Amino acid sequence: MARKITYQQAIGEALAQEMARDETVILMGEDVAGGAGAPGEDDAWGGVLGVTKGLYGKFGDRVLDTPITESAFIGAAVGAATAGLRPVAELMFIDFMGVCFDQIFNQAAKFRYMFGGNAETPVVIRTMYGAGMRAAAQHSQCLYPVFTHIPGLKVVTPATPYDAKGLLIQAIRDNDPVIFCEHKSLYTLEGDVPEESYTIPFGEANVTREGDDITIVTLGRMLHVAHEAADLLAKEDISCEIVDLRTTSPMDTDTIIESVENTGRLVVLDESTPRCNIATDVSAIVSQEAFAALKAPIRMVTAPHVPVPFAGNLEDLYIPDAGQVCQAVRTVMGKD
Amino acid sequence: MHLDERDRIASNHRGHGHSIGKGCDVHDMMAEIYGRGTGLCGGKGGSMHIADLSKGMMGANGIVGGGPPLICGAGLAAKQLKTTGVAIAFFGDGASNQGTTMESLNLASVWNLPCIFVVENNGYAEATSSKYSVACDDAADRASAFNMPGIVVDGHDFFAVYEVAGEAIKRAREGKGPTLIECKLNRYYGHFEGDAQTYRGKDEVKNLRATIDCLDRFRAKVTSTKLLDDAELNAIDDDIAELIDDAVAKAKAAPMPMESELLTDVYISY
Repeated sequence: MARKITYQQAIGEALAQEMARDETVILMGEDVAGGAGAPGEDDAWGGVLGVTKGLYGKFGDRVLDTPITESAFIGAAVGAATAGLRPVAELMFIDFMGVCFDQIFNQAAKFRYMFGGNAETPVVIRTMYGAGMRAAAQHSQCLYPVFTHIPGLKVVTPATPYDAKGLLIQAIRDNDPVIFCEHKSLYTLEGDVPEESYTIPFGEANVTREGDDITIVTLGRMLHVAHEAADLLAKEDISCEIVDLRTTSPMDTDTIIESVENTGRLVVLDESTPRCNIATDVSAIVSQEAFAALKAPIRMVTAPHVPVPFAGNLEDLYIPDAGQVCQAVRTVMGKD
Repeated sequence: MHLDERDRIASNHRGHGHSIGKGCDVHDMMAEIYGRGTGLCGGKGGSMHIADLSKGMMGANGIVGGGPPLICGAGLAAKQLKTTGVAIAFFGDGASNQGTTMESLNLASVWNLPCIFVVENNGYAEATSSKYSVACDDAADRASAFNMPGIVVDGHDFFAVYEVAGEAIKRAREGKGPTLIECKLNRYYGHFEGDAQTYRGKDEVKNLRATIDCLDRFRAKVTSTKLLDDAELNAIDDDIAELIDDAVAKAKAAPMPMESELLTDVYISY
């Protein structure tokens, strides 16, 4: 039965249900229990934002606090995945990939190909991304395009509590390495989520709003910005169709192209910085595969090509907003 | 020897010996080195990425210091799944300086993992001497900072290495935690085929060959103690030479990978 829970609770519930179902699922990361070796509670935090709170109490030594050594514990998760476990490692902020990227892209992503198909590495790396928390340049980036670039990795960017639960359960059961990207501004978002376990397949985009005039392809937190823009544009008699990618690798290009063929216009909305990101990728694919259907040039709405600033007014300017989306849509529609 | 199918190893750039030691098929390995479709990894890995996970061989590795984090995972899996297996990383003096190695020593100790870290210190990382690049006298000295035994052993002495390894493996199997072993070695060959080794001293390699060849030492020890005689050792040498020659001939004659293989084995499902 569905009831309203938050994105954060949906992730915690997915972890708890999978750990109960399969005892090879283990959790590791910095303070995922919180308090290991300290004199107070040994389940004090449940991760820096409380996503894994309560799991240590339920699953004991299957929830492992790690030293702040991302190369060692992300590598350990990868190694353990080749040796019979299904580790879910928490890389606290996606920005910290800079510390441990070798273990992700040279090791985990390569094993199956390099070893001639004779490797399975069912590891999930959960990681927080995204701007809006006044956390500045090293705790706010949208780096999912970097992972999307790497063959051998799957990349997931849930936008709603329902998708977060279903996609995380899918990620844990998946036998390939998965980078599971959680937008930290979405943790408090509530939505209908079934209590029972369910999966959402990778590579199936979700058309979250049907429309006739223009397609907005987006992902993650930007899905909600797209809907805000679409509501505003409806008052101007512009009918937007919104496609939530859900996963950037694999990417559901069929749904994108089908939508663009129906509407004839495309805006791609992506919170990441503009060079070689998801917006450029989607734009290139549509230009190549559906150019004849386009009635106007594609427009991309992204963050600018700068690091994420700290000052609130600058960060607010940095993050793509509904106004920018509306403007891009009007431009494509020839109504600006 | 001390290891069996419960156990896992992670190797380095020079992984052929480790692979054979862990039970990888020599013919399949040679085919892989020749990039043949019949190779252990279908020709997609090559010399630097030889692996056979079914044998517990987690791969030679192109990244210096790539293996130590991985064996923390294999050791964690052995501990969680209660297999009594151990996990061993082999790496050089170069990788002994990598952050991944230091982090892994710490993690293995913090989690009390059944892991063994083996530094094969042959004195050179590419062309740079370990006397220059390793800040302490012995890489094994670092073990004390991670609260584990750090043992220096003469890597030319088969029996000494066997004994030290046995103790470390027993300790790991009994849940007593990780060990760092430093095997002091020398290297005859350069970093790559054709390396003129102009960074080495005059007659350094010649003198090493003359005085501390580990195979000569092994032969002297086993013949003097009558464990084996020269004829038996020669027969083993002949068998190995024949095996390698046969593997090379078969590898050269084997087909290249099918072109369709370019696009396979990236994912299990996609």
